Amino acid sequence: MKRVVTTLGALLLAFGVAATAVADTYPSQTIRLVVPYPPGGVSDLVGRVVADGLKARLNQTVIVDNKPGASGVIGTQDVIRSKPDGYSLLVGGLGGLVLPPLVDPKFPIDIDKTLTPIAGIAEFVNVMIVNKDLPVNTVQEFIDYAKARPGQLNFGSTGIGASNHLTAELFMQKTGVKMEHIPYKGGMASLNDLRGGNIHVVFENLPTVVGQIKAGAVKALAVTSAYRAEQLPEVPTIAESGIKDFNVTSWMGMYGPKNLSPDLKAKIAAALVEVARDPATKERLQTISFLPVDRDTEAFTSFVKSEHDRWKQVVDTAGVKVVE
Amino acid sequence: MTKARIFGSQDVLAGLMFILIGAAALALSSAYPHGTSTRMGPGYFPTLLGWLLTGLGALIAARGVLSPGASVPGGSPRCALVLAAVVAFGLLLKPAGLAIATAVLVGLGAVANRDFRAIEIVLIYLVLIAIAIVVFVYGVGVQLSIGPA
Amino acid sequence: MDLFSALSLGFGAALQPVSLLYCFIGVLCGTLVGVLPGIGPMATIAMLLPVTFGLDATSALIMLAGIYYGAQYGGSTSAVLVNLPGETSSVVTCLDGYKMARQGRAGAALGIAAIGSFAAGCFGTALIALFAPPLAQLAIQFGPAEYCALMVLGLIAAVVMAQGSLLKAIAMIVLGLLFGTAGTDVNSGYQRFTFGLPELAEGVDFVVLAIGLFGLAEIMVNVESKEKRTVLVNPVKSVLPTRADLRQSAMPILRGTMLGSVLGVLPGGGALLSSFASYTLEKNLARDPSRFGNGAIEGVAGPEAANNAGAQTSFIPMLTLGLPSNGVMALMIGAMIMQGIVPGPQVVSDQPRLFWGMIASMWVGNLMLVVLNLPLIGLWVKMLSLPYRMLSPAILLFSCIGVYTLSSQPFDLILTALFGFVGYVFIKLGCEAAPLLLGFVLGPMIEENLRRAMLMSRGDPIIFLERPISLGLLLLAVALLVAVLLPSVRKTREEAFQE
Repeated sequence: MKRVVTTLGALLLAFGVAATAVADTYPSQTIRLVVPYPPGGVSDLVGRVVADGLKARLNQTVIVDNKPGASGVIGTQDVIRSKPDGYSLLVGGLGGLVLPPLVDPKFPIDIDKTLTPIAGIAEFVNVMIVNKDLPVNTVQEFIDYAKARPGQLNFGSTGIGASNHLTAELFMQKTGVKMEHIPYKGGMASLNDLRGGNIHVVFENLPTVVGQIKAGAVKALAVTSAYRAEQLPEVPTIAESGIKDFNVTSWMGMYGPKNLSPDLKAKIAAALVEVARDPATKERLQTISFLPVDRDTEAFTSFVKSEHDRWKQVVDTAGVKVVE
Repeated sequence: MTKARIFGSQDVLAGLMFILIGAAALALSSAYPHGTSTRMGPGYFPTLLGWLLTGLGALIAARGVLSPGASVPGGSPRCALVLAAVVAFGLLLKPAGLAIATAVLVGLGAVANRDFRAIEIVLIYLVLIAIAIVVFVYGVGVQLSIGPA
Repeated sequence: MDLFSALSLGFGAALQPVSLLYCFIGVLCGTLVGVLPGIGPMATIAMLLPVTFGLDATSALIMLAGIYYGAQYGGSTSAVLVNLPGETSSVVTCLDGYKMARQGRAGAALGIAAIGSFAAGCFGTALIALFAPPLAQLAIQFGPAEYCALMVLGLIAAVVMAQGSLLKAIAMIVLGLLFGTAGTDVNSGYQRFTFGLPELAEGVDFVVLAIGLFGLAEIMVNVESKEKRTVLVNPVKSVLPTRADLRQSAMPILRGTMLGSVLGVLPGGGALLSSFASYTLEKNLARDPSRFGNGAIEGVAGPEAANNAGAQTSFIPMLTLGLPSNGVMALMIGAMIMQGIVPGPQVVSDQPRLFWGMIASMWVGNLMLVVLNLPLIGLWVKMLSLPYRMLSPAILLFSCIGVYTLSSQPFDLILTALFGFVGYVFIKLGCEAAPLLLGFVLGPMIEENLRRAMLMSRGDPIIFLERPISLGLLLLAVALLVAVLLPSVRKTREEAFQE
């Protein structure tokens, strides 16, 4: 019995030493940040800024590896199947990892069992934009206008269960407004119809529409976050406009395969937090309308959990499901 | 108008093919929610197409029975080698690398031709593998390993 | 800013040595990936995008744009020579271009494609410089109902394009529409016809389908044939188009350019529809429509001009509205954001050097392309005189690598082989593959927009008739349908009377 305990202890010790040793020598080869979307998208842009920051801190080549396909599933599975050695990391967030399993019971990945959150890296706000000829200028005016026309207004989204779809659902739940959901493929197609007056409102990602708003092509009524966006200081938040506790941001974080050792996780998370706090990162992210966030593993894990619970409630209340 | 002409008729066989595919589409899409014409479900459009295709197939086949027209030209089993080459290439590329996969593809693809010559195949292989490596691996930057993984 | 000073600013930027260099790299890459089947401008731009982050914004966008329109030039080469549509838009070029090649007129086909593309490119560029803002408004006018009507018109056009039996052509379109529904449904997220395979979740890739149906099937049939030893049926005649060819092609090029310029502005299928539309138009205007499909040079000249003009004008919504009209333009928007340029309507006024520099570079790039491509024609044509037993392994290899680059999965190649078999069966049964491909591309767009339009009208189909553009397009579709059906109805009646 004693021998068993000793052996076990020795093994554990050896394992621990090995693990620390791994963490000590890490990184000794190129690190791959897998972005499960094509280049040029928001995940890719954030991934590249973070890759540059990590490169400087870890003294190791960090490449962004775009693995698009099946709405992010292909790239995510790539990381899940990789060795948990810290050389394959995933840039993932609300839209790709939290919302899809909530609305699709057949979603092929069990995120909790296959991935481990490492740290939060960035977020951006959504803006409530309307057609520029719609006779409303504030959120309250919009609510009154919509309530006078129940079920007659349309809102666009980038697909069922997308963050801009569920944000609109949340808005309807909190205000009692009823609107029709018109899903689109990809981010920009709905903007064309918003400008043409075929749909009336979209809760769109700030990076894609900030130019449209500044040029007066669409009207911004409010931002969805608890704070005002630096790019649009004159646009109020939805909460300021009288809808209590309305706080939605789209966020992104770094994930690794499930069995990533705690030491490695801590080392990567520490580097990521440093990157997020670096003013240079902030400046680069801001030009593309993002905001860095410095959530370490613990904060990020509980944040992901709270986001999951909150959106689950929205999804369940609205009855949003892929299979009717 | 003989039976053989009807069964060998391009139109009759094409019609039957369309009916078959249309029916398969109908069977598969019957499991998808159909929705209403306002809120069309994922099954609405495919079901519509399935009926359309089955109907068109029936028309084409019927016309073929009435006037068979051109009959199906004969084939040669050698053309299956072309498909085998593509499939083999796909299965071999990752585990065996570009050099071996290309050898199999070029070999099968060349042998499919009636007038192939063995020495020529080797030469073609050498030229093609060189081009493939220069153009795709170094030029376009496709991530491919040349030798076995 | 008046046009003259705007253009001089633009040419000032585009004629900088560094801009010329990146423009050249762009069009060279574009030509190369255009010629190679499978690897399209989208994949190439995606691969090169990270490289451009190190460049200044103008150089980066000039290069990326060059890849896009360069690929339209290159795409016709493999279509004409070996019946492989290198790009979506060159499907139509296969129809008459490949026939011309077999008749020993590959040089004429390639030459007219290059000349037509150049003329269209120049015109398209001028159009952007002069009328970009009003044309951009056209894009906004197009809602779901309008798109749906446009796509219906496109489908009718596909029927006109058919060479043999009308019924079979319609069946092939429907089959194409059906293939197009495979994958994840946009409106509900439902997986259709995927057989539980994650590789099919995004549907069948166009390249897989086109290479299978056109390229592989053609090789299979050629391998079987007893006498033929080369692609050529007749010996090569002249390497370049003759005077008669040019005269015959002038009007089709002009009409194709006009069509392409307008359709290219529309998001989605615009640029692709333009080559189909131009073919249909030429066939309908021709004195002897039966020449089409048997090597009519107008069937190459018009569509090639149309697709290149469309490629140019598809930049208009992206540059002036900040709205991308296709996947490539979405990537360009990504490139802009990464460069710190906020895409949107203000780019024209905030970044005049970038905007006008890009426009000027397109003209410069088109000139480079024609200079680059014309001398290559001789080389291409010589390649065709190689014995088929040497050519076919090469076509197979390049097709296969091209397919593999789509997603690096063996599954795509197996699917290509499957479609090769299907295409072979189609040839044996006398079914044309081109209408199927058009149906395949238009299918998802029709369904999406139809469902969107019905949602917006809360189920009332009157939405298609009460909107003027949609009504106009539908009336045009009906007129076209009547024009096609009348002669064939008359013919059957004449036949009936004779019996």
